[in-house]
Amino acid sequence: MKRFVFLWLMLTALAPAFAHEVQHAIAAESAVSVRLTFADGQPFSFEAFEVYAAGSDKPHAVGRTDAQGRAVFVPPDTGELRLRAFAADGHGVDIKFDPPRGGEAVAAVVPEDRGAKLMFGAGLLLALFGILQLFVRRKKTP
Amino acid sequence: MHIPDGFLSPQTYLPATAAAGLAWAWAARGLRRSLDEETVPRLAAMTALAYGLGLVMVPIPGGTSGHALGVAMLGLLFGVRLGFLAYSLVLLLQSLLFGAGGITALAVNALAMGLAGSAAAAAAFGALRRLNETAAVAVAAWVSVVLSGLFVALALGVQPLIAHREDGTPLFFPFGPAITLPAVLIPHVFIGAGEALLTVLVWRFARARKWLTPPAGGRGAGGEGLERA
Repeated sequence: MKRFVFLWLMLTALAPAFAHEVQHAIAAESAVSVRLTFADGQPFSFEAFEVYAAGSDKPHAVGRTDAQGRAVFVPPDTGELRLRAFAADGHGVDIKFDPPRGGEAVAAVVPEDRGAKLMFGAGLLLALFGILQLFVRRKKTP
Repeated sequence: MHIPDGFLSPQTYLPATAAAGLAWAWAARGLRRSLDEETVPRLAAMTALAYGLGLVMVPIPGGTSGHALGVAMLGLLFGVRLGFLAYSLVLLLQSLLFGAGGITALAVNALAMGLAGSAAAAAAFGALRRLNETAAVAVAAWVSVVLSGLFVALALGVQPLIAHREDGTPLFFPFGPAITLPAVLIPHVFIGAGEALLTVLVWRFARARKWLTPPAGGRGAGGEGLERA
C-alpha cells in the first residue's frame, strides 16, 4: 500500500514538470515579408517590429527585422494589419495594410519617383514664395 | 531626426501643437515688416535648399546615414522668426510628400528643429561672433543640430514613461531616454560637423553677395537674425 501511495505522490509531483515542457510542430505556412529600407536604400536591419490585427492592441507578432530589413511573420486569417517598426534613434514606420494570404501573389511594388517629388516640392515652395513676393510688392506700391 | 506618426502620444503632440501654434503666431507677427522684395527670393532659395538637404542621405561613421537640416543657415541669415516659419514649411512639405516626419508629430518636429535649431544657432553666433565670425557660424550650426537632436531624443524618450499600459508596456515609442539620447545624439555630433561646413559655405556665399549688409531700410538679413534672437 505504501508503495502505491509513494508512486502516486511521485506521479503527482511530476505532472507540473510535464506542463512546463515546450513541444514543437513543424508546418509549412505562408508568411508575409515586409521589407523596410531607408530612403537611400539601406535596409532597416535588426530593428524591433510589432504586428497588430485590426482593432487589437495586443500584438499578433513581435520580432526584429533581418539583415535585409525584412519583417517576416505569419498573418492572421483575416483582416487588415498594422505594422510598427522602431529604431532607438526615432526612425521607423507605423503602417496599415492588407497582407497577401494563402500564397496569393502580390503585385510588384513600383518604387516611388523621389526625384519628381523633390522637384514638385521645390516648385511648390518657389510658387508659394512667388505669391508672397507679389504681396510684398503690392504692399510697397503706393 | 524627423519623428514619424504613431511614435508620440497625444499627451505629447496635443500640448506641443498648442505651443507650436503660439510660436507660429509669434513668428508671423511683424512678418509684413520683415519682408521686402530682396529678402523674399533669398528666403525662397534658402528654404528650397533646406528642403532638399533634408532629403539627401549621406553616410556617417558607424554604418548608418543621416542628413543635414539647413535650419542654422535660415536662422542666421533671416532671423529666428523667419527661420522657424520657413523650416516649418520645409517640415510640412517633407511630411506630406515623403512621409519624412509625421503630421501629428509636425509640431514637435517644428519646435525641436525649426524653433530650437534657429534660436540656438542665432544665440551661439551672437555669443561667439566677436572672437571669429567663421568659427562662430560653424559652432552655431553644430549647436543647432545637436540641440535639436537633444529635444527630439527627449520627446521620444519620455514616451514609455508617460504613455503605457497598466503592465508597463509602452503604447507608442518603446525606448526610454537612456537609449534614445545616445542613439540620436552620437550620429548628430557628426551630422552637426557636416552642417557646420555647409553653413559656413552658405554664409560666405551670402556675405560675398552682401546679403548680410543692412540695406537702406536699416534691416539686414544677418543682423536681423541676431537682433531677433
